[in-house]
Amino acid sequence: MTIPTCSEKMLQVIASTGLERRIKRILSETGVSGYTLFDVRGDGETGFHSSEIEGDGNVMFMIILPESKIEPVFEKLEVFEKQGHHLMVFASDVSVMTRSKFA
Amino acid sequence: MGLDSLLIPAVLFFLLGVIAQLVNSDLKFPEGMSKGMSLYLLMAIGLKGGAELANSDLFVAMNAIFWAIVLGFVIPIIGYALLRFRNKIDPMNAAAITAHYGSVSAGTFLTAIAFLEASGVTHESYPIIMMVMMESPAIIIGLVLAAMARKRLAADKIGADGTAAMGQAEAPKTDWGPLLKDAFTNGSVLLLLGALIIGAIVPPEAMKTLYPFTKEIFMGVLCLFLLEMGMVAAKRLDSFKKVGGTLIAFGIIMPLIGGFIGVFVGHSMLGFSVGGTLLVAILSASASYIAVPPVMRFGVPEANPSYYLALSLGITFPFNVVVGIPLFYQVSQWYVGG
Repeated sequence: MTIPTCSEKMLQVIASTGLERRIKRILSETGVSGYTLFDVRGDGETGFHSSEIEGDGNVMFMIILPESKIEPVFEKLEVFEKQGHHLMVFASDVSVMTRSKFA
Repeated sequence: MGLDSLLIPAVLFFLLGVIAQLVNSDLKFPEGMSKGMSLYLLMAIGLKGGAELANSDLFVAMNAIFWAIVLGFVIPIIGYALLRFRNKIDPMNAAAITAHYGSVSAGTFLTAIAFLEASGVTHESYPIIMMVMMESPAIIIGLVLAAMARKRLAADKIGADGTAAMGQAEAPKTDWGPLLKDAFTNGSVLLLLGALIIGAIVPPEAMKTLYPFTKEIFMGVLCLFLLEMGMVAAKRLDSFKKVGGTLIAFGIIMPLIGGFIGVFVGHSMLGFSVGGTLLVAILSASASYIAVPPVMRFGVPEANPSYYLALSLGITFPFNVVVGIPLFYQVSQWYVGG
């Protein structure tokens, strides 16, 4: 038996905790109603972010959205990058089992 | 100043945390515990200070607030000038770093109180309200210096590209509203100020019911907090190679400059005793690692967080706990006594 799925995009955004509220606002403005949010730690260009103290933490948004909404979200996130914020943004194709949520 | 100055439980637990990290011990605190403990410490010191301030002299309190704001503005400007001397550090990193040094470290301040209590030295309560007042001005100075540098860099870049005349370039706009809101309403400022007010207006009889919370367990929680901060600070030791000699030197020289200015202000401008003078010196010498990093990370995203966190947590905090507090105590004794 084949389980029915639908094709969507998965957007993952890693940013500083200070950007959390702003990213939520962007998602709301672009009509994205749902996301999953994680506190994350990691190393990279700006050193190790341990999350042990305020200002040293990062968050990761995991968002499932239709392809048509990817560009508007990218455009708004690009503003942060131009301001010098360090963001990691990547999108991938995913198959979603819970189709009713994306109808 | 001998080994005795280090034989204080709070300092020894800090050193134990450093050792635990250096020997790769599996000692680990539950996630978010340091945030919880710092909330407790700010609330307890705020309530205690508020109760004492209720019986204080209003003129001295206003004078202390005035000098706290002066220190909050002057110290980051000195720090910026030092960092920018001969273009040693780029302007964005210099602005973000110097904001940390103009602001204060509650952990260092509380360690200084533990030092005084262990030595049986009394102190005025006014430095507690100074700590509240010194949190925000340096953030404003750091953001202003960064905005000016941003404008200048954008003008230089476009001028160099030949696409626009010098000075007519458009710099990225600084979104002041949320930044100022963060500077004045950040959690530690709000909690400390709120606890001070509650401590000041609650009748002394009602405050007594809080003594087990505000007094009896205070030093134990401070030891636990410093144990974890010792581990966090030691993790930043690796960043020494990254920040380089200039910044390491700054992390030691700047608290010395701030501390000596604090001794002068504490005694000559405010007339405090040795204990109060030491606390003003420590406020001036310490660098924030709680309130300022989140604001700078958002307000000056061009700066590298590993620089200012390594400096404030990995260099200046341990320096002040181990060397700065006993050193400024000796200097305060000499200055007040002389």
